[in-house]
Amino acid sequence: METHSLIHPTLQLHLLLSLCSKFTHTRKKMETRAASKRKANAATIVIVEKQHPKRQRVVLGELSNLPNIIVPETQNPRKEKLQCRKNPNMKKPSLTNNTLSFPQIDESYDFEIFEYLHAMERKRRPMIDYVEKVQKQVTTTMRAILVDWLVEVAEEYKLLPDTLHLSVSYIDRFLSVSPVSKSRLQLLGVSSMLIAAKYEEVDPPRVDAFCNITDNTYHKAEVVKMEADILKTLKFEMGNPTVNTFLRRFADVASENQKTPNLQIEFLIGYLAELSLLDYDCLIFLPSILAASAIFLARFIIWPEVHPWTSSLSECLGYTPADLKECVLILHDLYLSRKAVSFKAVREKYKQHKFKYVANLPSPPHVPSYYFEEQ
Amino acid sequence: MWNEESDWIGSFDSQLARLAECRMCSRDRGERPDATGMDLEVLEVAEEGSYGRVFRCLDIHTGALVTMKQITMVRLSQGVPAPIIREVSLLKELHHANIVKLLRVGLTENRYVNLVFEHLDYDLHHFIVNRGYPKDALTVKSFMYQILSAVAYCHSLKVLHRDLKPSNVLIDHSKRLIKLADFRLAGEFADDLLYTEKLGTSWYRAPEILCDSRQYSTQIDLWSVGCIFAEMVIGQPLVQAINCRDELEGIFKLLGTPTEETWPGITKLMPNLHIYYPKFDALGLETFVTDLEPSGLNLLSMMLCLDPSRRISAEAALKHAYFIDVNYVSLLLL
Repeated sequence: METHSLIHPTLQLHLLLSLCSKFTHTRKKMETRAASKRKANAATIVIVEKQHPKRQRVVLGELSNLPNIIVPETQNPRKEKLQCRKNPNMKKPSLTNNTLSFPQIDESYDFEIFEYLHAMERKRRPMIDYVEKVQKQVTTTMRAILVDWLVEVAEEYKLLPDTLHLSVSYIDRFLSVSPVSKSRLQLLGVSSMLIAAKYEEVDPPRVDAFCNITDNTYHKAEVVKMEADILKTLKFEMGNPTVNTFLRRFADVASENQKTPNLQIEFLIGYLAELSLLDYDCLIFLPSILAASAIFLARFIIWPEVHPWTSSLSECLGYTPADLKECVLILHDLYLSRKAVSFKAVREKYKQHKFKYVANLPSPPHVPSYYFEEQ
Repeated sequence: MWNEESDWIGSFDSQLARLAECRMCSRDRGERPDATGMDLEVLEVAEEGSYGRVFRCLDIHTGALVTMKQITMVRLSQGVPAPIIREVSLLKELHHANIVKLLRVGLTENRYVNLVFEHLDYDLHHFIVNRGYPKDALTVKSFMYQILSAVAYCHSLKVLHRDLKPSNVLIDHSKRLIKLADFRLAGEFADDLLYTEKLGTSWYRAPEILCDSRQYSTQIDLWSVGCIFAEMVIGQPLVQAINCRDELEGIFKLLGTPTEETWPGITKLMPNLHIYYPKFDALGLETFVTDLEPSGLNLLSMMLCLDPSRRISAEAALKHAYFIDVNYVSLLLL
């Protein structure tokens, strides 16, 4: 059944995932997370449409009682993808017009800023296996449902991409250290977005707006209390770099040597970056790797016959195609709906005219392996 | 709203706010507030402002003096104000010898955010006013080098201070150590705040901000540093005016009314420039800043350059010939 996106803003959405079949403890131990995802994705999605008298809004329904799958290490090693080796000849990355829309920062500091962002992305990254190690009730599918819904919330309130990316980052960092019950996961989501909006937006939505968007599932006091808990848990360190931070720096580099209008590739890169937010597997990659991979894949989708990577991209971004292979392939699976197929908000968002319909762009089913070889 | 189990405030609980209130009410009677069982003993209310109060406190565990900035949250129902989230997260990222250290952060259940900073004796404003300003050239040089080091560090991390003035430059007098403070505006991207008169004096604001430009950069801080530099040398603010327009007029009298040649883009930025301001010929910095060696005057003129694109960066300023004897200057820090 097809979900409605914010293209139909008068509809109130209740996303209800039906309960997955229960697994025995032994079965849990043997099953891979990929298999559990397939089951979750196959679960029926019921859409309840209801006209709200006052305002349009999207509401996240109940989160299903999906099990956390205990994965044997041999089957699913979640090894950390640290920043891959940098090109030894790496030059100072060029400051694009998009780097800081306002205020502008002096170019003489650009290299130091770039180095600082790389240091910070490591320092403030979430645990890559918190669902298995920390959480008792939260599953990867629940996380994806929450993120998918937050994409709609961000659209509804016209929030910046940075706000959305920061929100998800706060959620992951919080879940890395603090167990959350499934009934409070949505509260964590809205409070994280509240903080991100305060951090990033010129005119952030008020607390009431975030209560409304949950159909008043939570009171203002609860949202404010959770905000305080998040700030304390994250030690008020709210300025971590996200995929979008790096994408802004490389927006101009992405379309180099090409005559296609910049907007299409920029929107496609943004789309791939938002798809990566849905997938828990993407936590193993640093934001800078995800950004570079989104650029690689976007160039491949738009110009499949041309090698997506160039020496100047390697120099500016600090990664070779080989460094990006695993991440690019995951993003490609997400793009072709081979992963996270039931989560429609991001896809519907980028099927709109204002985003040049980039979610509808055709892509070859496979990225040729020779594109990942040393040039 | 906050129960005992989840109260994460630590030492900064509601008692502290009540203690502060008590101190405010009772200081005339000479009563000492009881701080039993708390990490901080409030010694005195150091300052009161529109945002809240500043207390001088004693850390019970270490015996060190600390400064607690207690910010009142006006709209409790809206949670922690955006500027506080930005300021605190910003301060958490700044680790530099010449930037004041944020030691702890707390929220109380009854509308206060408490920021606990290392304590410094006093600020540059009081130093200039009370001590007849730093008369020896070496102290000026040391202070300038430290201010520029902190500013260069901030700029390298994509941070503008935006509110540099002598009262935001703290001094540890025993070590002759300078520390920048009050990054209240540094993380603000809602820049309507920047132009309101109530934010205080316009004496240290760059001309592009006084002209209402929204395209500014790191150079705004360098203008402020230049104003501080001049004030340290002459013992009073270089240009003192009661509003932005008069401030600009004072700047133009000093440096000359800009033209497209001296400041490309000024006519676009201020189309009515020559209607509002007469064409002043520059009086020159050397007319007012007399007790400064030639290399210092050269550096000052590079900081107080009307055209932001030609203004020196903090990084370049640190390499200026004025600081050629910086090794000797650093002895003052020991």
